[in-house]
Amino acid sequence: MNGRLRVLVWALPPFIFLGAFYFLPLVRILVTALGPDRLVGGGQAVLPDWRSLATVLGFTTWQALVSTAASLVAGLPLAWWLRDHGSRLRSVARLLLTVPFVMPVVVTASAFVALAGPSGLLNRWLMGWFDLSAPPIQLMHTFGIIILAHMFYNTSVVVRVVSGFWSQQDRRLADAAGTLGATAWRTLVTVEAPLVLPAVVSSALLVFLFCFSSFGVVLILGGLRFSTLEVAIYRQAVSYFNLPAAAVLALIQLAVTFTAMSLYTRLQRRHAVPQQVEATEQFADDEPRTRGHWIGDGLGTAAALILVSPLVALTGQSFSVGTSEWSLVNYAGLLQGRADSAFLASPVEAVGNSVRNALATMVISLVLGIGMAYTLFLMPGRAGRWLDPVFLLPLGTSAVTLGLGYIISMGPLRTSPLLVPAAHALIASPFVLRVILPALRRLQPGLRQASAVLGATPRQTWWRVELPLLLPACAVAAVFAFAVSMGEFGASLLIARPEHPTMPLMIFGLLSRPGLANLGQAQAMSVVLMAVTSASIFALDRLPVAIREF
Amino acid sequence: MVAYLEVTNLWKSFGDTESVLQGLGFVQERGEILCLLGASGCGKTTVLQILAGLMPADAGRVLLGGRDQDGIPVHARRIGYVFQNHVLFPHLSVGRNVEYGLRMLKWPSRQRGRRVREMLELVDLAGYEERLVRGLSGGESQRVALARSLAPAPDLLLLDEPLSSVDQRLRGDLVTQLRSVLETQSITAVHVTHDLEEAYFMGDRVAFVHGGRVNRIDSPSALVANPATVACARYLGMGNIFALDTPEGQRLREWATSAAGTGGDGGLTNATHLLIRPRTVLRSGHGETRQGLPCSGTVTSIRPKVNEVEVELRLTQPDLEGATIRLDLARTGIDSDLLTALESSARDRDARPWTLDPKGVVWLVDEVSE
Repeated sequence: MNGRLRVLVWALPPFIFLGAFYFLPLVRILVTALGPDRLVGGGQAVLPDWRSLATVLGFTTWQALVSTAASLVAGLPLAWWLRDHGSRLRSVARLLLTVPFVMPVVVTASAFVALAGPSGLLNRWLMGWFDLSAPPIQLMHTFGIIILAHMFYNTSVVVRVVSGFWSQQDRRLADAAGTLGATAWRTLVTVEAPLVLPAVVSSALLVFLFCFSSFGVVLILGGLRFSTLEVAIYRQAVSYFNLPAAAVLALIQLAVTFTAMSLYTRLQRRHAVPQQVEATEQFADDEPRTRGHWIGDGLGTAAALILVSPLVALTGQSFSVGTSEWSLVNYAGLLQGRADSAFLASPVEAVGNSVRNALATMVISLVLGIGMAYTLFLMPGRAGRWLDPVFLLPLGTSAVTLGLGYIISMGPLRTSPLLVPAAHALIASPFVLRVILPALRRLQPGLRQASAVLGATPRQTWWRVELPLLLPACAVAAVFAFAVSMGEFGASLLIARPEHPTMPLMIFGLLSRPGLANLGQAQAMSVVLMAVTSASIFALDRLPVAIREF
Repeated sequence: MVAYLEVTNLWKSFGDTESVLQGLGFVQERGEILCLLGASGCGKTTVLQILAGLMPADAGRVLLGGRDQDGIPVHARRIGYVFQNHVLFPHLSVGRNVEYGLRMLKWPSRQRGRRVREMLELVDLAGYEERLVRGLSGGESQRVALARSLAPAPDLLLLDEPLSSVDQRLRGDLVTQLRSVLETQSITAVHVTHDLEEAYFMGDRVAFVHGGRVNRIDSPSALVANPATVACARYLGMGNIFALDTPEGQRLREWATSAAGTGGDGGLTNATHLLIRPRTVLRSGHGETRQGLPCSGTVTSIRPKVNEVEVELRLTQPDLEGATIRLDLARTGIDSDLLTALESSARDRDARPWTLDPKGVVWLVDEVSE
């Protein structure tokens, strides 16, 4: 088999898949938004008017800006604290800070309800201590809680990107400034800060991108008062079934995210922000410990703990909401189909659906990711460089937009049980690619030659040498794909059948219903989901600073 | 000589640069070990890759046992290859590595086990079957690589600088063992190295590769005795090479031929360069007999080294004015007369008469025509 044919064999599955499940839906959105049939549909005010469009766009941008600023304020001191990998305390803190990063959005929402909701931990304590009759903290459905939830996610983005970059800077530069008479503070301002500025800008851009396309947080925690572009797309598509309007909004969303993405990648290329943050023992913590160190460690630990406090509250509440003492009532409730439920499926069935979807996602995304990796690996020169960003495109496309595209374009496939895993696999495939491609490039080229001269055909070589050596990377990718699928919310919300809800959809449903029993069950299920997705933290350590779109 | 491996007129270029191989060719007997010696980047490894079928040649022919290798895919060639950095399969044990080629030949399991044991014994690694590749030392992994390539009893063994990633101190032992293993297997081997000592010891013959072709091929001792080409002499580390195509060169030629026994007459007709071996016996004064090359000159530096003394002699006689010769005089060969003369010449910077052993003169050509 000659080289060109081999590339084709690897490239065909990903190309067919991307064509059918990515480009086709996107094209259909384009046609729906701009095509002639957009005016059909009752004739009146099908498209959003300019004023409401400006309102949505304005709010989306504003909340993204505020969230970015807040995340930087919280993240930069932490990044400074974590910039060297000295103590065990710091590595624990770093791990803690990674937890929010992998949390599904419904878990985050549940966690904020558990911490600061009307019957949340804080309100229960305050009401108990001060004998109040009404909850004093009224954060639900406010601008503040949206920003807080975005901070919860994105502080860790800032910390990971900036501290990773920082730790790879030459510490001797700061030492040199010190010998030239600069105080620690002046060194920070005049030497270190300018050096890490590119990483700060990169992380800010990334956070802005995430917050701009925020969906679950705004939908669940913001309530009906707030609407980002994503939420607007969802409401137009699902509540009003106004697909042309949704498509127009989706186009705007795509334009903004692609612009931000290309800016981000250009910035990354220019400043070579390290892709992989690995623990280096190069600069051990051998300076004498001053009081400043103790204060820094104390503040840093406190900040890390505050950041994960919603998750702690969630765990606690799941055992105590709806009951007077600690009990497993909420978990037991998950096991029985509730008779008065408005749902078409029981919680156990939702768990089953999620696991099935996740397993299917794992398989599809591995096949896709391996195919993409080999395509890029075997593709010579310029074509490969051109293809790389194409394979990453799904990252720049919001889940809700994808879901909308599927609603418009899938026709008879709309009811297929494989549609949800297909969407999840598409979302997971860039991650899988990013894990497998470096592993593939790290394989010694000599291994293939050694196998060939020992009499192995290319296929035997692949099976006996390459695949076994790629297995660890595949395992990491599989765990990641599994976690992505388990937590995915936006696309599932649009395309999953009501009779086959996934866990996040079930949690969303339970959260939006009144009653402590529903809340308790939502939180119990969130804890289960949290436990599953936490496993992916260990996979995350093998991944470049990733773009999350749960 | 009965040709077993016949390599004819190989050409290969990468991209737009000058061709790496420009008509390289050699012939090898069955059971012979041929060393390809040359500077890094001279195309030695490229030759091996072409022989193994890992890379196509732009032109040329490879016959192995009379069979044209063109069009035979790598895995069907029955060629053993020991790679520069060993490239053992990291996910397989030592035994599984050695067994790999036998599996490809679909040997039955019991025979495979026996052969693996045999091969590991051969390279002095008996009992290493279950070891992980990761924990092996450089020398051990080199031997595993050797056992692995020998296990399927290949028709031809290619060794690409097999000792280059091994600790310098171990090389001596390994090269001895390698040579004896290859001899017991009476295998035909092409051994690529840039190391002179290694080539001298390993090769039944040594082919010096330069400018994309075999510049000089001969037994190791003959090669050193008479490098014959300028490039080969340079590679062997011999200085004092003088071009003959200038008026000074002409006088140099006359001076060198004035003494009897200067390298025979064969070189005189088409020689382009003259080499004065660094290890040439030097005597003080002009002797009575005509058994030496008389010259006069100033010693410009005396540099003691571990086993010898490097002396720089600037010639002052009218026809050779300004030519500088560097000689490595064996410490034990310096008698007190010579030492005194060298030292006083160096101190006083005065020209003195010397006599060079005419055996130190070697005539060189640009390239040996075959």
